[in-house]
Amino acid sequence: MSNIRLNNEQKLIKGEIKKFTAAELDPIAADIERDRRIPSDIVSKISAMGLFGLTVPEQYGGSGLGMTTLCVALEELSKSCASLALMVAVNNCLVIHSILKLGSAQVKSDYLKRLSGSSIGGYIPLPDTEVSEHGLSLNSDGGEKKISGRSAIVFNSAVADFFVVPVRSGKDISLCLADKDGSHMKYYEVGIMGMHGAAVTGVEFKRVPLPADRCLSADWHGMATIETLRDYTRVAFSAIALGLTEAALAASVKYSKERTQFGRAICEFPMVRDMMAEIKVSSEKARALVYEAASAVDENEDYAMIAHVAYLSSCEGAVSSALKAIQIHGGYGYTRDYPVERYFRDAKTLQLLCGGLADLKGKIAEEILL
Amino acid sequence: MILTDAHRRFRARVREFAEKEVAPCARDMDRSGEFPWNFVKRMAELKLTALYVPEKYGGAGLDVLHYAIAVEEIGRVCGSTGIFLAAHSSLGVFPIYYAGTEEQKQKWLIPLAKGEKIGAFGLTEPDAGSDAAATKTTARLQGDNYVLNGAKRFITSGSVADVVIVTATQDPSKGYQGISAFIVEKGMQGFSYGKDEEKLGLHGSITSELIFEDCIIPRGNLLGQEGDGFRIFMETLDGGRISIGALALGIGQGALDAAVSFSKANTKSGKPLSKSQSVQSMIAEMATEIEAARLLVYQAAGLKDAGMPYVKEAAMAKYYASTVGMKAANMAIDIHGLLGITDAYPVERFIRDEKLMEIGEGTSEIQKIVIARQIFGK
Repeated sequence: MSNIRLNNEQKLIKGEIKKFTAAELDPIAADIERDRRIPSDIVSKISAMGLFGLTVPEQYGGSGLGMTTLCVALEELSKSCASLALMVAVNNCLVIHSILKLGSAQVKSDYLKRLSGSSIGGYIPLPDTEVSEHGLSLNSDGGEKKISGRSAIVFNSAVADFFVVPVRSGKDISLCLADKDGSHMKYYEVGIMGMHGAAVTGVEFKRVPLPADRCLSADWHGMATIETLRDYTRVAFSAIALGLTEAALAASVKYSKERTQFGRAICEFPMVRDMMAEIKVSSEKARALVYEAASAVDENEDYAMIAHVAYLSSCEGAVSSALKAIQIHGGYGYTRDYPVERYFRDAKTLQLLCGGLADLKGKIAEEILL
Repeated sequence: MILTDAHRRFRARVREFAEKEVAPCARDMDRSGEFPWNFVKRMAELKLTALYVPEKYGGAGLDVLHYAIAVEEIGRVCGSTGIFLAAHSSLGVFPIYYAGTEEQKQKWLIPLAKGEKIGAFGLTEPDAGSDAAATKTTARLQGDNYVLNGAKRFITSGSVADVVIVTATQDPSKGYQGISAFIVEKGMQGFSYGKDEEKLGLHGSITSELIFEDCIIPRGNLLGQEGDGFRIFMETLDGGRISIGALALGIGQGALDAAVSFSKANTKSGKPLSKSQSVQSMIAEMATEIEAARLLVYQAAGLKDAGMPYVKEAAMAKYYASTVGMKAANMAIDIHGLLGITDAYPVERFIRDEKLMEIGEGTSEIQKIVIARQIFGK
């Protein structure tokens, strides 16, 4: 059904990831949850496969691949470990894409070369509301600009060499680059619902110096720019939601065939079959939207609307599918012995990472009414 | 439903305990997974551990509606403490109150009802979940003792319980008619524990595997007659649904409360979230559904108190309260936005805890079957 036509390169990447996850990632899924980190050799191997720098243009030493290929990789990766897929997505979208779109020639040449190698960037998401636990602002300190404040959620934080930081200055907001700086940054643990392997921590910025050329959107029309970057990211995050939905389906199919109650395999019960059919509908819907959105990105079409629709729909689908998968597994599904409770926590976390539901609906309505 | 003054005063009293004593510890309990021994003791002191049991048997001599209100109020701040109370009162205390002899009541019901001892109910097995009559644990009469063999799984408070009501079959060929119920005490020979489960939520609640290897139980520990096990556990589960419905209701109310206070305290583009029409719409939806769930739960409790049929209403209460509770917890996270997935706020804990309410003591699918059976006849 709805087989997206993959080119040879995409098929190759998909196959390679499938092999890798089966051999190296699936067996340690429970360890990743328990230790709340992905072992560094796994991150290095994914990096060596070129996934962290997949979208860095060839002129900077990267693979120069597009959104469709990135989505193929993310979908496959997230079937096994959504945390790892999230790390890859953050690096390619919020980090690489930000620098590519906004960086000066010097910044691009410095940072993209690093990113095509083994360097990973961190990203600080925008909060949905004005809350004191989350927000960074810029102060001038004797002529030198400095970033202060804290962020409760920083993606890739524990493995990042530098951060892409949205910084407020008065009413304006701009994206800036800040190198890892132990003397001005304090990392702290955060309790987060899912994506436990994704190297997320809180970071406190204590007057981190900001050199002039590290301001990516120097014109300070920050919010519109950041929204464009978030749309690009939403497409990639939708591919993770798709992978999670497929994983929920695969787990449910397997369990419902093995589990016997009332003298039959539970896959024979209509209520169980209904739930599996609904998960399948979610996954096919997500697949169609994700690759439609990805191709709009790759074809340089306006992709804002499809990105919003894809993210909203595929995340909702992933959350409800994971909940149905838990339901099919019954008491077992509520335990960590089966992966479905993780799929749920990861899906719900993913859904909140790039703008809330009300925001997305608002944007879609705005676009319809244009 | 308009509560009597007595019920309202009782609610205020439990709410004070929940908010002042339990709420401040709920997040740490979720993080550490520690069983709330101190709250077990406090609930015993407050006479919450067997609200509907007569005073002569160590209870509070009140009614099922009081009990539902207590579970709701505690669940509103902490699902783990709430499920302990629900499991102890409905699953540990009830079977002996319902089917015990006077001697058994004196010996076991009184300390359980007083909260001096912790009770649990061993029904579910690795291969007998929704199909509870497929019990494989066996009981064999040997002289003046029964000998139990088998295993139970997903038993709430199992490894901390002093008394466990265990179902076992004396004749698998008889199906549910071969099942009997036994009172098993902690430390009995041949009774041990497997692992405690690591779960999505309810981290402060212990969920255990019980193992019986030639476990010897005195004949006097048989509850009811031989073959009464099915009737006892069906009656137990029917009543238990009211308390799980109450817990689901409480957790949903907790999520709604959290969303309301977050919306009042935080602004978006300079405007309080509470002034946003889409937030108002979500809050109104959650509040309406939770209020409807409350009516169902209280109605089921009221019917049981009046000695009227309540099986359908209890199943509806559990099914509906857990469904709308999940929806409310989910919406509450959405209203919090990015910060809703961190444990700085309680809403991600509420949804993880609430999910069990759609599974434990009969899944939503089983509740629908029970409801349909009541509507269509068997």
